[in-house]
Amino acid sequence: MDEVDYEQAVALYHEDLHRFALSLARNPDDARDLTQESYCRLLSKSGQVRDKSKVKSWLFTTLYRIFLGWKRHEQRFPHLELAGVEHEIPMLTPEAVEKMDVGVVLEALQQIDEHHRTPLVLFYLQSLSYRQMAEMLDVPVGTVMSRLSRAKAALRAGVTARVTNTGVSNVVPLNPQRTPFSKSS
Amino acid sequence: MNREEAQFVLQAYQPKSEDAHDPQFAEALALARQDPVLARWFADEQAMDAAFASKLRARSLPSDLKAQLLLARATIARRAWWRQPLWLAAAASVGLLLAFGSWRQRKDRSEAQFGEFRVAMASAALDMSPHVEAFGMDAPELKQWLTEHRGHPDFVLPPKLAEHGVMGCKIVEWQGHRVTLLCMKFDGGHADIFVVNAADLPGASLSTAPRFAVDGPFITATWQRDGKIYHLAGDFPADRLKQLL
Repeated sequence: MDEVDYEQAVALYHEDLHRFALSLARNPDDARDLTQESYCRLLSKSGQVRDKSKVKSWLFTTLYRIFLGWKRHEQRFPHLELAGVEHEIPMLTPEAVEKMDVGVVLEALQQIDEHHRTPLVLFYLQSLSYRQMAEMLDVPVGTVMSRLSRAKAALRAGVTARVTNTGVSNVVPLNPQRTPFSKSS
Repeated sequence: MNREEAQFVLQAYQPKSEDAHDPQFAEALALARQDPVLARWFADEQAMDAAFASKLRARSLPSDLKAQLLLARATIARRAWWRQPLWLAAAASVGLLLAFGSWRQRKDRSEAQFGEFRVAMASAALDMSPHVEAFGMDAPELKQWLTEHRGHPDFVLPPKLAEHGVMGCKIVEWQGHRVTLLCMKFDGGHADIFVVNAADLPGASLSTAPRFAVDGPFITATWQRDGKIYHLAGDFPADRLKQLL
């Protein structure tokens, strides 16, 4: 990959890639490491990306795999399934969401388990098509759609619970630890 | 496809992506055009998606992230061409030549030790796993890092070379001695400067005037100053290197 291509890849994708990393890692330091490691691999393994149109999906897929590798290493990610959210989509309007504090939305997002959060973030960042998501997550396209549907419902339920301050969320909470994994030094 | 099935499919639809041309969505989109209830739901769904997407994009990013990513290129990009067989062969040749040189100079143990040092440093210059352990630091941070990692924080580079700044650094071990690697990139070239205590390389017979050599892909220069030996391995033309030193 020559310098111009690399600069383009950084300019075009680093923001969304970092946002994706933030949604996975949950803390800024680990997200930065994930982003940097993905671009380092782009430099060192650029031979794998012969088609320039694939750089974006390659970066997202690589970041996700690095994350999974860290996660496997740490074994600190309990996977909890969403339960009972798909039939309980709360009433929520786009206008209400627009007026919401960003923190409320992000907090609700982070409470969604990773298997559902990952395609949802990719969907909102418009980073990958659902077919590319299916390849990246190594699941059938129908599963991507199903997870998206359930994740959307969970997010709406989560923000509604926070805004109405009922204290009751039908989203299964995850481990409240803020640091999901430790960096290798 | 009924309305419920269409809703399920359209929840995954991204209008500005390649999904617009994906046959998977064609039937659901056609149904939405015919069914006013489904059309209204779809419009609301897209508005909701846009609202959530804007919240995700509102997340602030580190201001220096882009610069850091571009900086990484300086240390990683070199791996691509140095990993090519031609360069690896050249590097191997350097090692063999230096090893052969060391053998011929067996009587002069000190000189042989210096040869071994050059071989080891050539190897360190080629090592990209990773090439540096810390990068993107200003001068005080660099000195602090070297202090904490028992390197050579009091190194002094020739002024014209120092002007270009140190890109990154690492500590390498050679025969039980700690050697500081300072990585620099400028003018389209790349140089690694290795700093070691002169006492760790006693017979090198060096002076403050740089001693130049050609070691395979590298132009090297070695000099001694204030009890330290500096060994530079770079891909600059010799004339340019002489100007800097």
